[in-house]
Amino acid sequence: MIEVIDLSFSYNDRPFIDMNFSVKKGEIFGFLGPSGAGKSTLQKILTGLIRSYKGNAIVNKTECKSYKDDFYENIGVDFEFPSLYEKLTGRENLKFFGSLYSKKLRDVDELLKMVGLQNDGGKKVSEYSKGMKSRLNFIKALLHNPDILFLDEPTSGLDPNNSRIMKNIIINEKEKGKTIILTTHNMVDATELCDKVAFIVDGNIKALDSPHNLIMSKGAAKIKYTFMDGKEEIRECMLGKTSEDAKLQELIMSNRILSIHSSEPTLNDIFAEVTGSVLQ
Amino acid sequence: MNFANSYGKLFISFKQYLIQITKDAMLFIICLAPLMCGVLFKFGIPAAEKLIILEPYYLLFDLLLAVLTPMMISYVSSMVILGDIDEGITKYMAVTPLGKSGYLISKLVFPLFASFFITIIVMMIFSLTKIDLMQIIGISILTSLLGLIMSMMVISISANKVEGMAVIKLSGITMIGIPAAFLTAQNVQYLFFFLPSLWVAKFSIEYSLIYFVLCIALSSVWILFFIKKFLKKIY
Repeated sequence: MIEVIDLSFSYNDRPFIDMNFSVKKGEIFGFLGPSGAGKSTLQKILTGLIRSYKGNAIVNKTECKSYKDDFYENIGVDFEFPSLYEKLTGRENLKFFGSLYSKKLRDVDELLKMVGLQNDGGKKVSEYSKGMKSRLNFIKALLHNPDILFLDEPTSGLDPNNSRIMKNIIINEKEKGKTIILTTHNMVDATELCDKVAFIVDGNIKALDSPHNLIMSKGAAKIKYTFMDGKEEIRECMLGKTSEDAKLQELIMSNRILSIHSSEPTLNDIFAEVTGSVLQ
Repeated sequence: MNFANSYGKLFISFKQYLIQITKDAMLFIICLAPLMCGVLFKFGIPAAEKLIILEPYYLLFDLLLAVLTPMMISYVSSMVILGDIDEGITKYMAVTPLGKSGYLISKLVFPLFASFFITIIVMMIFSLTKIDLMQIIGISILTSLLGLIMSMMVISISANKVEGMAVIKLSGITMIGIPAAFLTAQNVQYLFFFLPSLWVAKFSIEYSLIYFVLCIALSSVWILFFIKKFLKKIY
């Protein structure tokens, strides 16, 4: 669905983006990286907003720098910050943006209901809260039933309940065969939603794999235990090497363990290890 | 996508532009300003003749009227576009089938055409002097270009709608070439050579093609000067 081959782009002759990757149909692909890493630039290239790149960026069989008018009929973009007419109602906004597409549109009321705005469609957007605007902006990207969705921080600023609703919708869209490009700082969302993630730093992909593989390849599960030895002490050991930890054996035999927990590395730990920086 | 479809989207976006104007009382009243001024000039100025001799300046009043329509429409377009920038609409339009160019055509070029035709009608109805239709058309083309320059200037310089309102007042200075052509000595007039408005006035007074061409050329330079910053601001 998306092919990026030897893609390079530079700002003011300074090399910025240099990468290769591909995204299959029906995949959720996450771009993770700190601010200024190149995620937004990459999204601009893939959505045809930047055309002065070298190499190939092919989206839906179309080279992004030479797209035709109908390129956007099958692309839905949800920018991080809402782009809505404040003086129009939520429903009027959806109706207007929908009228720019030639395709058959999804039912507006159904979409509003999906994100819990069924009773707010008639309100002016200026009366919406930040979270309501984010949700309306999100369904605006789904309105024309696009094959590819570009989502930029879709759960940013949402309460846990609405964040869950949005994530369920994203999963549901994937199940319908939509290809989704997710740009986020949120490692928990990326771990849960993405089939593959790419760690982007300074315009380069530092690692690319499924969240599970990244976690498993770069780290292993540990256990952490506490015990009293004059004062409370904490120790760690690898889960696969518990029999080699003499102190642990001794504590078990003497029933002196105060607490014991197992923990797997998170995507954030892997990101820190691979890139040398922390996102959250 | 076929031709009719592309056109359809442009008109949908233009219709949205008109809706935005109707939802803002200030912009709506501004659109009526040329009509109100036309009535005032047509009936008020001849009536004022009893108090002060104004007849030598009838062409100046006509020109002020001719420049008023593009100025007001340019103001309205600038406010609508600045509002769209504030609300992130311009950025979003670039990733819809309307596209960047479609957005600009519907919110800048269509109003420009509208201002061209409205200027002709306003001039034909409210003009105080007898101006040839071809000259009215020429003046309307030039004043519409002034309107375009003004929009580009306001949008390029202003960070938001509030700043836009201040800048548009300031940009009115670029129209000083019109009274300068009537009220100052020949050698003083040329101090304003860089203002297209001076050449609009010269074209109106002398009806010479050279001034028309000069104005077009100078306007093109102004447009080229602002185009990069203008496009960067929008997207």
